[in-house]
Amino acid sequence: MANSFNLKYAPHIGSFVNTVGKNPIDQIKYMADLGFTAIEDSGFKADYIPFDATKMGIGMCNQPNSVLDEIASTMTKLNMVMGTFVVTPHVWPPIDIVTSGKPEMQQVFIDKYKNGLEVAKRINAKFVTVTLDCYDRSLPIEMQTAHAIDALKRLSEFYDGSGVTMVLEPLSDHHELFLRTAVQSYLISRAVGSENCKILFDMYHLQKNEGRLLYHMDLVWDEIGYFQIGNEPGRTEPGTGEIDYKNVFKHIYQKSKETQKEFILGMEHFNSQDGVEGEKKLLESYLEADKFLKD
Amino acid sequence: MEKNNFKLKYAPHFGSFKHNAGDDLLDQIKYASNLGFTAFEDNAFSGVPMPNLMGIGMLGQEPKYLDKIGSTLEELNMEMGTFVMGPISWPPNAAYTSGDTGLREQFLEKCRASVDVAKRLNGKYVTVVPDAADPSLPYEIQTANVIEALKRAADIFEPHDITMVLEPLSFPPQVYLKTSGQCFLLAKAVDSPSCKILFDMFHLQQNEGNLLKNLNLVWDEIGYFQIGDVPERHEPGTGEINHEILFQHIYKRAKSEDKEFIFGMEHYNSKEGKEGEQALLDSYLKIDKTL
Repeated sequence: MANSFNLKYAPHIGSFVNTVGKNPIDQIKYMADLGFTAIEDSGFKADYIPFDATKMGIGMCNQPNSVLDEIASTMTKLNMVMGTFVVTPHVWPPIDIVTSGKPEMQQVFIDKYKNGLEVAKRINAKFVTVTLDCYDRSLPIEMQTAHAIDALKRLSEFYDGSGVTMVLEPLSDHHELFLRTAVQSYLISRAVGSENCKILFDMYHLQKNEGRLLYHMDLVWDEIGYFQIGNEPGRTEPGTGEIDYKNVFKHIYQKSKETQKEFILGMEHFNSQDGVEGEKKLLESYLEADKFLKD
Repeated sequence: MEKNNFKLKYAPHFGSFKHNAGDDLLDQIKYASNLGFTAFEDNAFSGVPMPNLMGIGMLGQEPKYLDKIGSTLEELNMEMGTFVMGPISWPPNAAYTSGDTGLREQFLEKCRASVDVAKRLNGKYVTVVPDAADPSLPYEIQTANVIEALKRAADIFEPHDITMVLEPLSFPPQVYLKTSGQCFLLAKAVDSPSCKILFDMFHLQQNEGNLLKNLNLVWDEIGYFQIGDVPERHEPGTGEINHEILFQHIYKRAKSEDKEFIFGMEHYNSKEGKEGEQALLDSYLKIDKTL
């Protein structure tokens, strides 16, 4: 029986792989059966990336067109929407690609997300996750910010009219990563000044970098385009860490209603337990956190 | 009334149960004891114009009354938690962050007065806040000035086995001490059993988040915990912090290291009246049952 969720939670291919098996189409159908109305994909892989980053998605940019087309047509049939996805990094570990302002590096950045746009069109995705990689420690922070704004402005021209939004994701995985806070994302989004450049309010990264989630969310609300979920520590489902997601979801639900917006909330996290049991627990944790209207 | 058996030493304050127990502080202490609470704390300032919302302000009370509170707690086998020493002025101005010896002396005078108050209450903790930052000075110079003042304060508290617990604050914006890392540096530099961290989860969730990681980082210097959900500074369960996970972690880690902490309930009730006091009690019972 399909559950009816109050918010548009988006699992990824892999969330229920032990229950369903490896076939991505089967997994999408199963997630639709469970009541999910969106998916997203944060996987990526490349020869030069020395670890497996496909636990949170299959990596849309790594798939042949035939697979992308099948995913798109399946989702259309199931009336599901494609959330955001990650574009394969062109170099690993990340470097000061945008912040340095060097023209050749800016071009690499722009090419990367132009490719992302093509994949987005193929799978009917309305969002592409954009990261701004590392600091350039030789420059003042304001200069680096200006370079990021500049690159995003140029990139946004390619996105104009496509209906696809770049969502800027603040990260906490490494201390050299440049985009860290909600207000930094807000400043850049406002400065770019485009409907297709918004904030990916990732609650996992932001809890690690700054806390005070509801306050910061309200501060930057007008520029938020997308949410992602993950508890801390462990980056696992609601109920397993220091964030009370039931209360956070309630706030997002109410504020979305007030401002007549609707968001996808990407489940960009691991399962706290392995196997079929862990996948049952994942579903239960969302059913529980989604009960915010009853308490 | 059933006397609950809490696994952690939660400490309510004046006002937490006033609708059930009445306006008298001693009655409120007795009521809290009957509920099973084994500690009490006080979070009001005294001597500065600020509403006393979470306590009575112990520094402003008559010695006789303090003695009465102390003996009541003793009879009930309850522990006195922390009480607030209060800033030199409110809203806070730069005091000993500036290095001004006159202001530092005013602070030390308050420390001496706090020793007397703590002894009357049988209290082992005093909440200390280094007032406002001095934006005219480099940050590191301010920190050195604070260390100097706290070392002298530690000399005052040490002979009496009283610990000043340094509280990071999230408002007003001019306050100097905001993060757990800052507190750790001060506690290490002062290097005294009388100078520890008050790990206030409300303020730290507002200022830095990442609570479990940060509390593990500064664990060795933590002397006291305080509670409050965000954004409303109400009891657990009402905001963005999952207290169950935090308390479970603290409980386990403290047990494994033979440590015991008081957990000050330095927050308001989310609902008014007796109903609010029941919700308050229920929220703590619910979490404590998972330990």
